[in-house]
Amino acid sequence: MFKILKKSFKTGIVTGQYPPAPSGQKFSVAPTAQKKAELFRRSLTIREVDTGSCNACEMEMNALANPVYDIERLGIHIAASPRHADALVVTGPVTVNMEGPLKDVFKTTPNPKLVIALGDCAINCGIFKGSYAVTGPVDQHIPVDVRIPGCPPRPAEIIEALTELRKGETTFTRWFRKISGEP
Amino acid sequence: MEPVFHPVEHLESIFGPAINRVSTDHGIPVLHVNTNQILPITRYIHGNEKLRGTLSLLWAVDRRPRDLRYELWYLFTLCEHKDWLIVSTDLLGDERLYESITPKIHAANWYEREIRDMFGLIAQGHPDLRRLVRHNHWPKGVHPLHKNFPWNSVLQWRQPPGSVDGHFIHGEGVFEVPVGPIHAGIIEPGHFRFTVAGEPIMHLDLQHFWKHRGVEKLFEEQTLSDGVVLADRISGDTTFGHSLTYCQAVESLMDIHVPRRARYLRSLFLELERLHNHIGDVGGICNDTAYALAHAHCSRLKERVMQLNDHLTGSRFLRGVNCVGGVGIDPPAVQLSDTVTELERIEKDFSELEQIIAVNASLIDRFENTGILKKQTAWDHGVVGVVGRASGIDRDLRRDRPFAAYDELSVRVAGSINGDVRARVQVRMAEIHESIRLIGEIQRTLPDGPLKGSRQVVPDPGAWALSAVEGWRGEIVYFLMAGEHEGIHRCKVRDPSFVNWPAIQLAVIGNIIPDFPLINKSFSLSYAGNDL
Repeated sequence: MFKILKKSFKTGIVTGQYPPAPSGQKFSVAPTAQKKAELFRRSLTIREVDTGSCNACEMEMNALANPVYDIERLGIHIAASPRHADALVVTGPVTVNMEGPLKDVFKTTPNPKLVIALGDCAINCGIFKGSYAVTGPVDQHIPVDVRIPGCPPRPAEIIEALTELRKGETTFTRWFRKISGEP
Repeated sequence: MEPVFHPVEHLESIFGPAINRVSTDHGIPVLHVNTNQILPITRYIHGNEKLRGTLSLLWAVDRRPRDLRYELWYLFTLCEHKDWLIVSTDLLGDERLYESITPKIHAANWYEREIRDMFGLIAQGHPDLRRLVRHNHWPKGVHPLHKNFPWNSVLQWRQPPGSVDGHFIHGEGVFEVPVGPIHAGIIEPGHFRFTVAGEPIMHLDLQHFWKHRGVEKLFEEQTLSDGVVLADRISGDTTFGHSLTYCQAVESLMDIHVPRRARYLRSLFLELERLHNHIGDVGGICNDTAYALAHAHCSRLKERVMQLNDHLTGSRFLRGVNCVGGVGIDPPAVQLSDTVTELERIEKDFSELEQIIAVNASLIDRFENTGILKKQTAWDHGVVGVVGRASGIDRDLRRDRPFAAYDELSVRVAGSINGDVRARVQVRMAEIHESIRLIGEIQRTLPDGPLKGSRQVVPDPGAWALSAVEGWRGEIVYFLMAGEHEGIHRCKVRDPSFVNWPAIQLAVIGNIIPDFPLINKSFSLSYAGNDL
C-alpha cells in the first residue's frame, strides 16, 4: 500500500504533458456539425467502430484515455455500446465484410447522433482505395459530420478537432446575448 | 566424431524417386515433389526426430500468364538448426485438388482454408473446409488471388443467407454466447462464438477476416520499391516490423547490401516498437483484471515511448522510416543519447511498477493457471513469438536467424514453461528490460557510415525471396516473387497473429468466459495483420 502511494506521489500529475498538435493545419468543422454538437457541449459519449483500419487509429483512440491525454477531463467518454453513444467514431476504409455491421451500428445509435470519420482511410480509403474488398469511404454508407485527417491523427489533433466541434454559439448563448443587449 | 547431418540428403535417401528436383535459392533448399507425395514427405519432415520441422508458412502462387499452373509451397523450420526447408509442388492445367496435410500437421489448417478461398484450390481430406476469408455473403466462385480476377472488382455486401456457419455442440444446458464483431472496448472486429455448459468454456469458434482489405492483391499492383508504403499499413502496431520484413525481401531480390549503420538503426527502431507494445500490453492485461492502477501507469509509460518515437522519427508509429536499401532517417547522436537516458528512467519507473504488480495477490490469482497453452499444443500448431516462448517453445529469430544487426548483438531470449497468462506477462516483462538493454548497446556501438545501399541487379520475373523478422508479437514472414518490369507477382504476408489465433481456441477451453478477455489480451494478437 505504501509503495503504491509512494509511486503515485512520485509520479505526480502527468495530464497535459504532450507536445501540442502541429500548428498550421487548423481543423475546420462545418457549422452544421457544430450546431448538431450543441447538445453535447459538456458531455459527449463516443462509440468507436473499426471498419478495417490498420489498428493505428485504434491505438491513438486508446491513448486518448490514458492519463496523459485523459479526455474524460473534457467531458468525453467512451461507451461500450452504440446504444449509449452520442457520436460514432469510425476508422478505416469500409471493408465488404464490415459494411453490414457498420450500418447496423448506425441504426442502433439513438438520434441525434454525430458521425466522425477518423483517419485518412475513413475519409478517402487511403492506400486501400479501389480494392475488391473495400466498398468505399465511410460517407458512402452513412452520413459523416466531422472528418479528422491523418495517418493516424495524433491524439493531440483528435482532441483539438473534438474541441473545435464543440465551440461556437449555442441557442442559449444567442438568447442570453439577445436579452442582455450585447451586440 | 558424428558425421554432419544433411536434411536434404537424408530426405533424398529415403524418398529417392519421389523428389523430382532439388534446387537451392538464397541458401534455402527447395524440394520439388509430385503432388501425391506431399503428404508422406511433409509428414516425415514434421514427425522425424532428427528433422522435427514446424510448418512456418504454406502458400500458393498462380503462375499465369507465363505458365498455366499453380504452385504450392510449404516452408518448414527445422528445429535442430533452425534451418529453412521448402517443399514445393505444381498443380498443372485445370488441376484444382491436392491432398490436405492438416490431419497430420495441424498448423496447416488455416493456410489450406485460406488457399481454398483465395485460389479455389481444394485440400482433399481437410477436416473443416468452411470459408475463412470470404464470409458467407460473398458470391460463389470469387477467388481474389487468381491472376484473372481484377484487383478493383466491386463486391457488394449482401445479407448473409440463413444461419451462421459454425461448429455447434448440442445438449441439455449447453449455451452459446456470440460476441462481436463489434466489441465493447476500442478494439478491432472479430466474432467469437463460445459454447458453455455452466461456467466453463467447452468450445470457442473464431470467425475473423472482417477487416480483409485485399492487401496481398494490392501488393501485386505495386512496384517492388513502392510496396513499403503498403507494408507500413498492414498492422499499425507492427508498422516497423512489417516494413522491415518487406524491405529485407526486396533487398534480397535486388541483391542490395544494407550498410552497417542502417542495420543497427533498424534494430534500434524494432526494439522501440517492441518496447511500447509490450509496456502497453502489460498494462492492458492488468486492466482486464480490473487493476486500473497498473494500467494507468503502463499507458503513461507507453505514451512516453511513443513520444520518443515521434521525437526521433516524426512518427509515433515509426511510419515511413524504412526504405528499400536502408533507413530514411538518421537521428543525431545527441538525440540518441537522450533517448537512452529517457529509457533508463522509464526502466526504473517500470521496475517499481513490477514490484507493485508482483505482490498483488488478487492479480496473481487471476493470472496463474489461466489460459494454459501446453507445449505440445503450441508445437503442433506452430505457435510463435511471445506466446510460444511462454509455453516453452524456445524460438527467437533475433538469435536463431539473425537479421538487421542482431548477428553482432547478443540477445538474451526470455522464456517460461508454464504457458499461462502469468508466463506470458513474465516473458513480456523480461523482454522489456532486454529491449532497453539492447537499445543502450546499439547506441554505444552504433557505427558511422551511409544509410542506404544501392541495388545491384534487376530481379528477373519469377525470382523470389523469403524474409523473416522477429517482431514484438513473433515471427513475421514474407514471401515475395518478382513480376514483370520490377512489379510484384506475388507477396505472401504472414503476421504471427495468423498462426496464434487458432491456438487461442485451445487455450481457453475449461476457462470461464470472464477470463477470456484476459487470455485474449495476454496473447495480444492483431486482427488487421491476420485479416490482411
